[in-house]
Amino acid sequence: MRAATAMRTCVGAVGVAMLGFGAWNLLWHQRAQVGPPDAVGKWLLGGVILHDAILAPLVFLACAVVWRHTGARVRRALALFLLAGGSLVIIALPDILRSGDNPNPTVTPLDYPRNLTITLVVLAIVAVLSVAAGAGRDRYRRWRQEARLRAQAKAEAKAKAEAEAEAAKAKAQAQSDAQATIEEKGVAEDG
Amino acid sequence: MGLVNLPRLRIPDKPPTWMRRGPLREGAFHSALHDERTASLVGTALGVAFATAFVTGLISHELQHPASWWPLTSRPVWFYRFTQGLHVASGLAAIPLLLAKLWTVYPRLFAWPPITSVLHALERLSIFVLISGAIFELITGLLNIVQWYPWRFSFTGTHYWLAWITVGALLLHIAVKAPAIARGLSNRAAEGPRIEIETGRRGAVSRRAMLTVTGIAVGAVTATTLGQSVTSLRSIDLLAPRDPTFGPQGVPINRTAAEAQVEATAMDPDWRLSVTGPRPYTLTLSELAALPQYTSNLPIACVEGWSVNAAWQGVRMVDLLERVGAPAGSQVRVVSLERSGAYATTLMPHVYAQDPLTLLALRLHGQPLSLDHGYPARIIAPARPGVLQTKWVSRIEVL
Repeated sequence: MRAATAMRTCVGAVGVAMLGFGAWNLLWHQRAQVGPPDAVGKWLLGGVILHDAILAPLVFLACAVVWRHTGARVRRALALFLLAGGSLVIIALPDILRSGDNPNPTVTPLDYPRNLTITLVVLAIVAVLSVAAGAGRDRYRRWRQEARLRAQAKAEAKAKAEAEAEAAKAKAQAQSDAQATIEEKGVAEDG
Repeated sequence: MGLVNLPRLRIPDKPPTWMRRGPLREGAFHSALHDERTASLVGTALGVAFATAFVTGLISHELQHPASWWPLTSRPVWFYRFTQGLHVASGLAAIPLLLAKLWTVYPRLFAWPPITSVLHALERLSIFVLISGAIFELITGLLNIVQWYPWRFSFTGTHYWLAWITVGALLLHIAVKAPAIARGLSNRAAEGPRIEIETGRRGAVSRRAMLTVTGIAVGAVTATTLGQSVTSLRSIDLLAPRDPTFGPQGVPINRTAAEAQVEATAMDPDWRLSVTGPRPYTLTLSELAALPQYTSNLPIACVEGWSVNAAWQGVRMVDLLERVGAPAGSQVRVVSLERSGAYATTLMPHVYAQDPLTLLALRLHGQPLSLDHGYPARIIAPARPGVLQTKWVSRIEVL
């Protein structure tokens, strides 16, 4: 436990040292190489606001709406489309916005709107197939369970019938044994 | 964490009634996947992606601005192609991972009480540094690979120093959260009950489903972009900013002759290569072409992640240096016709200058270099960043 604590302290100290080293260079030592700190600060803060105050609330709101109208299977497919599709949109957005603007024609040479559409359609097909596969799997499982239950019921019924037959046989045997005893007795008495 | 308690600051256990709405409402986040285990698993994947990007980024930085102790090597020839392709790929893969991780821990932004002690406040501040740095690094990297710079700072320096800050904050975060990470990864409380594996809610998306979705997102991003560095995946290169076969002579370029403003000087029939050293000389293009020509099959690999192999023909650097009487182990300065720009002159350490594969190339794929590829002559050396493969060379100086 002591080794783990030492290790933990060490990792934390290295982290603080790296953080300090980077901050010192960014804000002071290499400031001329980096550029105005307020420009960097604006982008640092802007990224957090973009995620925490815009993107995340939108996603959670959408989830809350979807939550009321869907089951787990559809939700899973929507989560796939949201995360994978959203990531693809994010990486394609600079390509789309910059296409044609760059003085270097070998940057963004592809038809990105078309390609993004293709990837999203493929993703949608995968999502729909996953819903269908999930439904199929559930239906198969239900069918197998029902079959198993039916077989079990049948086996039980058979066992019960056998047991009943056995009992009836035993009863008949007992009756005939009793009859035989009476007859034997009768014979004996007669004798 | 309760070592330094805030003096006389009493925060109620629950937010005041008027604040209990939106994300501060009790039970506002109903998914069971905002838990330690999901955060640890997604966080581990994200940590690996960031560590990979950091290490390959340091390698790229050292190859461009080598410290004296850095072990420069010209083998394998695809070294930079590999590390920089990995750098960009791990950064792109980190985008869905970061989105998934931030989704998982987003409710903690509204944890109550917001601050319990000075240490807790510092910890939350370090999380802010980590998240803002991570988002900054991914966005600036994403825009850099399309050569888009809508800001007033220098991309290279800022991306580099913020990487130190971000990874520093990440290590601090790992140290602070170590017990929770250990619990999450082993799915076992150190002393106490087992953490519930089931999501506990009928019809909820399971953790396995969420992790699969995250994996598919990473796979989709990687598959549609990796083709810019791995030529065999070019057919599914749908969203990468580069097609490794699109460009003059089937090879992309990073800076055009027009951007470098060398169109007139490079096409000048009076162009001469001057080589300075103990026995300086100058050569015309036809004199250069009359020297023994060699072919090197070397990749051109750019900081922006794209790379492609090409057949370059020209004069070996070792032959040019021998002719000028350069002493063994000489370092070389290569001067371009470019009048401005960070790479108008580049230094070539002796490990590359002495390499028999390093060429002053005159031809690409059997044709004279196109103007955008550096006509009349350019450098091509193994295992170096593309920006150091100086184009439109006018002078080679032995130092």
